[in-house]
Amino acid sequence: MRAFYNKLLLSDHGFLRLKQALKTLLVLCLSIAALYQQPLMVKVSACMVTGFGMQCIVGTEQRSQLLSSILAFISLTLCYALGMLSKHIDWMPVIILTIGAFFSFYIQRIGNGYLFTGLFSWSMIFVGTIFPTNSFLAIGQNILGCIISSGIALIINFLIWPRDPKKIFLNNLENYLLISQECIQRLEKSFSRITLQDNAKFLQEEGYRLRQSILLNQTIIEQIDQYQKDHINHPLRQVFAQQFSLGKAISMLLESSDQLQVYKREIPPAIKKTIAQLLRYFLVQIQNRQLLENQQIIVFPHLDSKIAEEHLNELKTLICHKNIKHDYFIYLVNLHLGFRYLLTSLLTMENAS
Amino acid sequence: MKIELSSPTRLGIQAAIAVILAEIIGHYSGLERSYWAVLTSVMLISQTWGDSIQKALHRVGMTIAGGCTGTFLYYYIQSSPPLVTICLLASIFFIVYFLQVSYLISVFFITCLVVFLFAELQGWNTHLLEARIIETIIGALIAIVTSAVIFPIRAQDHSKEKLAGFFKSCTNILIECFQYLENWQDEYAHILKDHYQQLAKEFTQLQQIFRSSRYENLFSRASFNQFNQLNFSFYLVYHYLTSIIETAPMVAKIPQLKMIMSELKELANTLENNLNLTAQIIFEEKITLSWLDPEPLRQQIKDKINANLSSSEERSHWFNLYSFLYFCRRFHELLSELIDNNASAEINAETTDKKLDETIQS
Repeated sequence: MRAFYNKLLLSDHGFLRLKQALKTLLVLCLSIAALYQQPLMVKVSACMVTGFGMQCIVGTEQRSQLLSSILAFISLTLCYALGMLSKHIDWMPVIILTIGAFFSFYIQRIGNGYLFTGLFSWSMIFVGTIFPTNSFLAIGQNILGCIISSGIALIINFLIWPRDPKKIFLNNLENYLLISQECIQRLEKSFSRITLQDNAKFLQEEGYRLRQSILLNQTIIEQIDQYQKDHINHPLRQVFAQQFSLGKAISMLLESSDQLQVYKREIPPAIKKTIAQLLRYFLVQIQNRQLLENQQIIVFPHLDSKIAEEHLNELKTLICHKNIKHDYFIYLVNLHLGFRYLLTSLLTMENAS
Repeated sequence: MKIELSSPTRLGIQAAIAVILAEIIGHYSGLERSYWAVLTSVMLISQTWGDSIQKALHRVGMTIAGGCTGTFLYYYIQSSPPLVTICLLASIFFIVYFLQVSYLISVFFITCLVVFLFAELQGWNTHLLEARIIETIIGALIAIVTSAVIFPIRAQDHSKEKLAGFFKSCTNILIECFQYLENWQDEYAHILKDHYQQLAKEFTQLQQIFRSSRYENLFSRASFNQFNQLNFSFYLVYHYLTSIIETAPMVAKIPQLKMIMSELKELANTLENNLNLTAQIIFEEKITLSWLDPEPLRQQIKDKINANLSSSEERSHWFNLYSFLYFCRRFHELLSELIDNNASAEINAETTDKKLDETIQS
């Protein structure tokens, strides 16, 4: 159970997607309850409008989110009505669907964030054309149902767990640091033992999760760039740049340690121990989310001298040495600096706000 | 005459034509549930042809998987209507939960939702499942054909343009970085960070284009491997260039940097020259430059520093510069590898031999 909870937390830190899914379910249940006495078709169409509308929130500030939400619900309801009405004229549904399909993509000219609104609105035209709703009374009932459920959705959306991009960003960053921590822990373990473990699958999975985490924050930064005037000086942009650097450092470290597997027998135990010590040093920092007092890279010259002390005779040992000294060594420096800069920019942002 | 249209307009036209095609096919084929093909054909229109193929494969695969799972589950629980409602709500929950992170999983649950929704409205059977799968395949084919024929947006066509842009940005940022080293000011760190972000954005776009291109060459194994190789090479080029940018502010703060400034300038010129030569070879342009070897320069810098070192404290101080030089060397080696991959056809024999000798020596 604990393992499942941890896995869930790692894939959705802050449970933001879980909250959104629960909110959608709540809105659907409330809409069905509010339209309890209405025909089944009214309930289904109302649920579709709310379900789609809940995913069409665009913008980084609450005001713009509210505005985009209202516009989405109006568009979805109107499109549904249009779909239902078009059935009264021969070939009209095809014409409306064709024009609608064009505009559902053309709307992206306003901004990429509106793609969902466009596609879902077209889907509502489509639903309107296939649902067996013909009389004007039934159409009226359906529209009223959609309006009621949209109202419920708007209230729930902005009252319960409102969507705050900054919070999402920071939660995701927290998640990202947890993944980094896991990666370094694994690397440290593999160095502190006599032989290195086979990390291929782990590296692949963790590397993917790291990239996903970075991509999610990049989406938020792109939204900020798109919707906010003073986006250049936005504090999250600076933090993101550091997150990107650290992510790159960890990815390269993971890949490089995979390469080291080839020479795992040739790495002298003293060097393994020193690298494990170094990784533990980073681990303590990441676990505590703070820099240790001694910020100088004092441990690096130590590793350098450890490597120099070893007697290297065989060619394979020399190659392994070159790999550690030139690649791994530099990646560790990158990791150190990446974490240091990320934490500093986070602290600067917190102090400023 | 070539018509220049923006991407949303192109996609809009593709979607409109996909609807017309799906309606015509539905009308003349007499298929019972042709509307599913209409829905699928529009939903699968994507930014590039490669993306459409990728989405179509996912859609068809997950429709079969989700449909079969949903149908099996429905037959098992159909005697209990509350359980059907619970499955319906669970499908909605998982669609929303996975919508932002995985198209593949959300499509699986969308099909489950269709099964349970139909079960609630009019009942579900294997005949409907069959119709759903066939219509989805028709819709997917319409989307692929429309994306390929009507104002096609091929990732491959964009890759050259994007790659040229990426090379240009790499050259500019490299020149700027070395220029700043000469007369460093703190604000330069912010300027470099901004350029770095721009480069990151361009690199992400380039990766997306490479990914889409892979689907456009789905049936050509050679191209698939070639793209993978190229993709990885650019990932490394990007990594080492950004590492140069990251270490530049630390190098700039070394007080005795002026001692090796002329060598650094020469190193910048060498890297710029080799970067431009790589671009010329990759884009099959006329070759006007020749390969320059930065290794003697690097050695010269190291010797000069070692000769002037007086304390161990100073040695750790210069450590940043060693990192910087290491990144420059790796960056340079990667350019050499990129040329290796493209050299056979374009570069003349003399230059290739010289370059290969240098690579072996290094």
